[in-house]
Amino acid sequence: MNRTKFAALLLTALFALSLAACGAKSQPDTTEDMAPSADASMQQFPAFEGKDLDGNAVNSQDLFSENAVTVVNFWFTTCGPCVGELADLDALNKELQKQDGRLIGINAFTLDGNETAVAEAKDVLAKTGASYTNVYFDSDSEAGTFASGVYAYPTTYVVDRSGNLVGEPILGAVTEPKQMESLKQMIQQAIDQDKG
Amino acid sequence: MDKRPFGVSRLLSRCRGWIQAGAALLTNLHLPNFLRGGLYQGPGKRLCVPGLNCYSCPASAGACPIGAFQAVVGSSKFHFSYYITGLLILLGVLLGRFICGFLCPFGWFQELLYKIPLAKRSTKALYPLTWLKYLVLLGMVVLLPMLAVNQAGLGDPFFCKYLCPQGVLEGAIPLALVNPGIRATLGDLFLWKCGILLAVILCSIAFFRPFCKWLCPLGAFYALFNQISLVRMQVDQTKCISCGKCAKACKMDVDVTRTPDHTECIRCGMCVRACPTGAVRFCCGAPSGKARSGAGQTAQPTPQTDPTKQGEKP
Repeated sequence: MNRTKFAALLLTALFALSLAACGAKSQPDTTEDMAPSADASMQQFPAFEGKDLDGNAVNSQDLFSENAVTVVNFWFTTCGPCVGELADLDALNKELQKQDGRLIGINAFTLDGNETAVAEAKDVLAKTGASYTNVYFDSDSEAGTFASGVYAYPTTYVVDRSGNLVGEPILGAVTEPKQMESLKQMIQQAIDQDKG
Repeated sequence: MDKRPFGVSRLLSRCRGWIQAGAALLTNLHLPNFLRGGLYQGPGKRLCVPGLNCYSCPASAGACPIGAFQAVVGSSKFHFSYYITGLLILLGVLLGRFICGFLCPFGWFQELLYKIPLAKRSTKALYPLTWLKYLVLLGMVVLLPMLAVNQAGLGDPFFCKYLCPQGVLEGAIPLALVNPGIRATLGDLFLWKCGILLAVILCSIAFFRPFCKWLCPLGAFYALFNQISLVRMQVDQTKCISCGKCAKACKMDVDVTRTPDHTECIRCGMCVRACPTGAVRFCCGAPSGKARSGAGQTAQPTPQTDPTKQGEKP
């Protein structure tokens, strides 16, 4: 019985240790995860200054204020479903441009302007016929921290003219009919709010 | 070569439940994440854990070796994952299916279900099904992600996506419970995976570790190393009285006295506990000549024929 008690004590100690460890370490990771999706309607997309994939400077203020609605799609180069929807996102971008909106992409691998990643991202975009703007920024900026909290790819946010997040982020490919419907609803909501 | 004392083998097999629980906990250390709906994304995630444990489990401290393999082999950049394959080979050569018996959380899950006191069935007659897991390994884990690619050269992780019950148990369900964004993505694929999980759960009540026997590609991979792994089973032929209790106790349908390095042996040690003379034990390192596979050993070795037993009483 002594051995059993010892083993039980050891397991309990490990358990307690894990709780303590998590308190210290994973808090930075996970609270950022929850922040964007928990109450997105009151939140802002973090302001950023960065570049597009051709090296031209962009900043979020100009980007968002020029359009009634901006759809922001997070993806990365080796993500199957992300790449699978790029062509459809390009079509969505063209549609949005008729309505005072636009779509931009953020490839998580290209943060900090990693040259290889940028080249590969451009390659994939070319292969899938996606011509819309993709941007990157520093990973240790506020936007970079926001981006590192995204753990499910692709994730799509809808942002209004003032940079506020509209509705909940869409997880998974927006080519799914249910998700496309939710996205279109949020886009319409942003456009209506902009008019009013 | 090995002379692991008798007591250790018995102790190891008796503590196996605790070791399995400890391994499951260490593999999924970040428990509070279950409530937060996020994943641990720190540096630990770059290492693969030895057992079958989903990367997307909120609490997971490491990556799943099978998931990682598919993700890398299915990407357009790397056509073969040297790091992950190398790591798996290392684990296989050191431990073989000892990992299955002691360190795999999903194996432990099935064993807990088996404890439910309902009708039990033997899997002896279903032995041919054990070949299926090699097909799963070759087809779903290696070939399909490598070959069934989209226009950008990306393949899907077929095993994770269409078969793995651990992923839906540890990843999809906990995340969907807490994260509304994930919940919104659930569809037919989730139903299919839940169906598989339910089938595995029900089978695990009636049969001992059915997933490990018939479907697990990781077990299939480690099984390839059972013949050469450092940790293995050893039968002292001088003590064995051929009573057959070990074979009867074995739930993986292995006769350790004839084939101690059988691909189906998960080194759980039930044979060690069943043996009345202490002939069966765990061993580490190349076994001495007398303890090599029982097949072909008829006469008891004498000190003249077995140099390792010089001066020892039989």
